[in-house]
Amino acid sequence: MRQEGRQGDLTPRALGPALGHGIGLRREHYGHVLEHGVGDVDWLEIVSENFFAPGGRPWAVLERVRAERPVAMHGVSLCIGDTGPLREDYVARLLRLVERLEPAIVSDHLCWGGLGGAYAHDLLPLPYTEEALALVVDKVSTLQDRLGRRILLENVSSYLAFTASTLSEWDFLGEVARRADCGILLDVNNVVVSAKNHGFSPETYVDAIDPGRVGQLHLAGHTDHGHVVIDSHIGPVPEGVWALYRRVVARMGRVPTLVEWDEQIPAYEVVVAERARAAAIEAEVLDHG
Amino acid sequence: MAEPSELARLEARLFRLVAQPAPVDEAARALAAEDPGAHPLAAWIAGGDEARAVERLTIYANQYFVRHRDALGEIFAGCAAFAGQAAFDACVAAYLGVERLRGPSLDEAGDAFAAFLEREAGARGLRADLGSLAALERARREAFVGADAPPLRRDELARLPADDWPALRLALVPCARLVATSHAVEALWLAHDRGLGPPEVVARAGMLAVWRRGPSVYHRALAPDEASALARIEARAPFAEVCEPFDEPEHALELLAQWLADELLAAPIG
Repeated sequence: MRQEGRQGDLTPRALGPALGHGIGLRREHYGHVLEHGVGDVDWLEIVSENFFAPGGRPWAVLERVRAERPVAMHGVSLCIGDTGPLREDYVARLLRLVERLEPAIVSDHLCWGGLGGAYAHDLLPLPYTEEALALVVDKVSTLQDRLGRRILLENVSSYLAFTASTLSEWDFLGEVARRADCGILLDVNNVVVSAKNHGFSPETYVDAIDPGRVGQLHLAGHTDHGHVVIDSHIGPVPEGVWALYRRVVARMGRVPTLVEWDEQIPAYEVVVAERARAAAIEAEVLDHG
Repeated sequence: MAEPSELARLEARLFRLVAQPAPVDEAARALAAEDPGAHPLAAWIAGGDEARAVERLTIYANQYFVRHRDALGEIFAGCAAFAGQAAFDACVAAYLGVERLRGPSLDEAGDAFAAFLEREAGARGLRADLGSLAALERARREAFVGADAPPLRRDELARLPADDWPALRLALVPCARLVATSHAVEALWLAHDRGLGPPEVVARAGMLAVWRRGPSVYHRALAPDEASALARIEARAPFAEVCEPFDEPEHALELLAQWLADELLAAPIG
């Protein structure tokens, strides 16, 4: 089993390859990809569970993509914060997918999502407590040993917080990564969404994250209803997210970056154009100060 | 039994409030009767008063419903169209109220939906054939993403010595499904596929074969003898037993040729 990136220097390079700028592969774009190829993107990310089924057109598309570019796996149902042990059936399916696909990155979310074997199919927020921290660290360590590789955990958007929390979200995320020796998938949009919903500073959040732990960035759109901001992944990346992305790039350097677009999905070229803007901003910040 | 931890208690409360179809304030009152520590919500949900806690929990509860409604509406598009959106939504809410979703993928959220519709459609004033239509739509989705496998070719079979045929164990391609139905819903499925209104459908127990050839999914109704023969192939019975349902051996050979042309049988033979 591969053990890449589990030892030594914790730079972004140690957390994974320098992938550049990619987009999320979505079903609405399968026809485009089969007909025209992946075009001007450096890499693509799949939702892991969408490929737990073993064949058919989704895999035909994925094999085409994989022949052209690196692929990352991003799960939504690991439910690492559920009390109780890891779900063995889920880990077995994840492991089969990792072995078949040999992805550049494996990631999921720092959240919980089920109870008693049932799934909510949602990314539910954790209380930021020592108990939750110990649980997540133990399960991440177990999973990394099972997979034989490091995973990245993503900060989620949230709409509520708990009185039981004794740590800030950014301290909790950093501690999970440090104690479990995993990486961070820093979702810049989620920081903006949660910051507005909970009244904290997004700059404080990203400035507190250890750049050496960050192996990937996510960018996406959200919907601001005034009293609450929803992580909708609708529309172009908002200007506030681009502004925070500039700050992250200035602080963390070149980190594999991905644009997500999951609702009212536009033509493939529109998503690729968002990816191009991310690449241009990174170049502007790093190459021209 | 040990007391649940604080985290376990919190997750149980939150799951109970958001992974269910009732309004959150109503669910919170029911929860408080069993778990007094869950009341008031503002004691464990930060940042405001009771109304704000309900509002924030309702975001998750709405997401739970909408996410599953949309996933089921995509898989069971014909059922949604012929039930009507309001009735379909009510059906999904009832389904989510009684079913625990055991699969990690949203695609698996509808695993028990056909059986639910078969049981509940009549009582809910819905078409009695929706359960069968749902079973067909579910099987078509499964076939669409089922495992790839090379089909058995006629020339492979032709090379088999005659003495080996009785013990031959054929297999269906792994994406193939045999679907039991209570109504003859092929015309109903076709009407939805063509954007037409629903035809009259007769109540008649039967079996459909569903499979994929290349990227395209097919289905067809099976006569009782063919259904029995394919079920025996699915169970990996020897070919001699597969032929038992047929009065005429020639009919078995005709169907075998059809299965080969359809690419319903998997290679290699053994």
